Amino acid sequence: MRSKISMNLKLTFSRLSTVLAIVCSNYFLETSNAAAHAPAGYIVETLEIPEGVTLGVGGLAFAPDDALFVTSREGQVWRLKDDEWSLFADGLHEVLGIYIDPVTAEVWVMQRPELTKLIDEDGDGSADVFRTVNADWGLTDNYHEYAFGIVRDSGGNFYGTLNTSLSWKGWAGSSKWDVGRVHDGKMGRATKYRGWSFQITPDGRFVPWSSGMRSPAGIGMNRHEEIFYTDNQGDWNGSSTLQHVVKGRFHGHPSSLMDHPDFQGKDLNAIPVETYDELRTPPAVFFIHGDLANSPGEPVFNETGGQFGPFEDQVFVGDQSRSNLMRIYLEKVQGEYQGAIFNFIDPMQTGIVRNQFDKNGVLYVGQTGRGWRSVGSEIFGLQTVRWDRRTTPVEMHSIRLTTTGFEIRFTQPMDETLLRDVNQFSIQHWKYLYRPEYGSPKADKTKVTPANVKVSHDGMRVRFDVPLLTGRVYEFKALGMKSKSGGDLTNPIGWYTLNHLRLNDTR
Amino acid sequence: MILNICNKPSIWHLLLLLLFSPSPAQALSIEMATQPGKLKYDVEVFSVRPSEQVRLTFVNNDEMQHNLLILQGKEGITLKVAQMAWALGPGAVEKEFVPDMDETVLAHTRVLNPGEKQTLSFQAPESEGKYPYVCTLPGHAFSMKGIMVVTSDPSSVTDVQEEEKKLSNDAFVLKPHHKPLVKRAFVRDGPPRAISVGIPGGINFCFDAESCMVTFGWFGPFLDIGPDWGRNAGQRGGGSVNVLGERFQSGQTMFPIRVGGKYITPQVSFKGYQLRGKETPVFEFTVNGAWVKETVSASEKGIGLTYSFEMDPGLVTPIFVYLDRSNAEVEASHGKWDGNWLKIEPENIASFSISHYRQP
Repeated sequence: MRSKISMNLKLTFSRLSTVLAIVCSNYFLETSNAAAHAPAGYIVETLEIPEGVTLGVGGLAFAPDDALFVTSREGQVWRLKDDEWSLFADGLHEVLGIYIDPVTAEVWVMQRPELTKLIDEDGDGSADVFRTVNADWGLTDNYHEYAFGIVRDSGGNFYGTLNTSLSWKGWAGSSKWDVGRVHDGKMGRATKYRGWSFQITPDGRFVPWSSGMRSPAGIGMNRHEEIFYTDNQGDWNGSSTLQHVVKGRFHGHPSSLMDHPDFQGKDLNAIPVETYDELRTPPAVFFIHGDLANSPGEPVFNETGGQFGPFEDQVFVGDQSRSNLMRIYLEKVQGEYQGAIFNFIDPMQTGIVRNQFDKNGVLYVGQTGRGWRSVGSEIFGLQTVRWDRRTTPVEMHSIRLTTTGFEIRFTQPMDETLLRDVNQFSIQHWKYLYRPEYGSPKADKTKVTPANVKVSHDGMRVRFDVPLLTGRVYEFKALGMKSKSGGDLTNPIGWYTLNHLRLNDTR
Repeated sequence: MILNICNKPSIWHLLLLLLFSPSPAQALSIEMATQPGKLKYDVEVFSVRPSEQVRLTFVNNDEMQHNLLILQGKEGITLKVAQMAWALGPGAVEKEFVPDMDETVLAHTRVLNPGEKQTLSFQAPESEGKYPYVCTLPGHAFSMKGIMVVTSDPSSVTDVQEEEKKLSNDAFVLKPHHKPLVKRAFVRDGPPRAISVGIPGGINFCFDAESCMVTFGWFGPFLDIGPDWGRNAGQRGGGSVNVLGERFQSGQTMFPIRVGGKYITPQVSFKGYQLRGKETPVFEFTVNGAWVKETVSASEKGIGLTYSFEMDPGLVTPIFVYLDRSNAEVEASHGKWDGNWLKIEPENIASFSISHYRQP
């Protein structure tokens, strides 16, 4: 029993007497949760975890029968169906991803050492056959060599990501993994394909997909089968990022290039930072380290047909250390994704790593706080976020780049006097340095003043001109902004990552 | 637990005895049972006075056979005596799993079936000290043991097995009680793609899913997974788990199977494993394209492992199996040894097994 509220509800539990024990579960409501600062209309609820179970969530997926499967860092797979928990698999090696076929209900999990299909051959409700699908990447006993995943495309190909090794002796405690550090970065490549995303084909072949990842803790795919991953701030990563995965792409962390055919026999330390900078594809969106996120997890696309409020097609991502949920608006400019990020719910009960929508548009949030001193009252858990389907929150819906500036769209009509007042917006931009050092300051901070402010007839959009510079993050603060009916913005700051200028605006 | 703070009727009886009838003429009655399914006695420490007459009733309320031997000797004697008992081989049952060690074994029950009980009457030793007791059925001695303290001051007896208790209560210690447990995690001094298997009875082994071989075995408790899980919110985990018992060599110093000739380099690919309830799991892999199923179980001959292989009976050439025979005894169901190589003729490829063990 984990919380005061659950005791009020007088939930009763059967004891976990065997590993296969089934226990009851219930939801309880946290209405007007003061701790979780959520936009109006969004309700956070906490799921009960079976007593005595440590469930550091590593993966979430729904089966065709709506059962929720939860995988854990502790190597278990739990199944929640009709408020009852049962153990589907045990004894696995740190399961940080799961995929369930929406038709056949076949289950695959991403373990640290391999991609595995879990089969319940005798039909007793727990897996008895553990079929290795692929294990062609290198693995040492370095604790940081995580394997994250998994998504699958309509062709039956799986995609996942492989963390670099913690190689710097000062942190790793040993020099045995000190291979592949470039320009004295902290992370390296103690064995093959660390820092790569991969594809595993339906016939089980491993295909190296894109390189340059550091700590790629989450992977997501939208309905167009475009793949995105998040990377964590650190060496070669000035701040955490959301990046678009495309075959052959180099995302910026050079240790992975040891396994790139074009770099065989080359000394990666002889290649200057500037060359790597030219080779890399810049991140679609920067998370703002310190202000917003320190270690983002799985990006999930809100493709719920409006069931999750006014933010359709936006990306929802949680942070493992700050325990907040964020929202990302993406747009294509010159053929590449970039966009804006906003805080959404801050904080939740502990570090967030995984998100999945159920068929009713309820967002399930998988949490584990262990290891990085996460904000919050719990060490692990599961929460849901649902929209009440009535209330329109007061938020910036999106920030769009125009040819001469930006257009901010709100979720409802705003106070037009405030909207026209240039002083209501505090705007600055900076760049994150691409460098082997750990993280980056907000370099070259520059304040700008908007000009040519124009408000749409419905009072929901404002556009203005500002000087546009690529390779920078623009911050828009509207602390005093109010809706037409007098409501404050729940999250009054938005950040736009500007990589490419818009050449012509058809809107 | 300590007997004299227990609240069972028989123990109240004992307390009353201790408090009100210290007469040496009256025998001290002690009732002992098991903690069902846990391979443990329910009384792990009790005290008697020097030379006191003792009536100890052992009730086997478990679902498997047990016995009880009271011993004289230093710490570690329990395992030594148990190993001697296991080494009795086929004659063990007849001897009630009691080795011929008259000076060490002070008293013992016979092997009790589930539901049976037996009362031992004996005089406690004259000299004060700790006298261990143990169950010598195969594998039980690692956890099924306790200490009889002979002392003229029973109130001085404290829980001498604090360390032991800590281990058994530790949430991070995996205990294969009723069926084999499989845990994938890094293992200290083991391969990264390790699969650890703990077999009830105290034999455990580590299978490498990369090289498809058993890298080592150990006897004793199974695993401390604290380093993998992280023991508290501040620990990231992902560390190498601790093997808790004493390691022994598996004999598989390299991948053992050669198809088509001794010196043909084996290309192996791990395909997974199947759990089989109370039986040990089946590992599956291919070697040069040939499908192999390998089951690893505890050797019945001594401390060691038995490897049972099933291969495609369609193979037309003999296969060769390598096993390091130094410092170990081996026994193969089929084939002919040439040094460390065992040649298996095609007609026996479908199913053959090799035990690799040493006498304790």
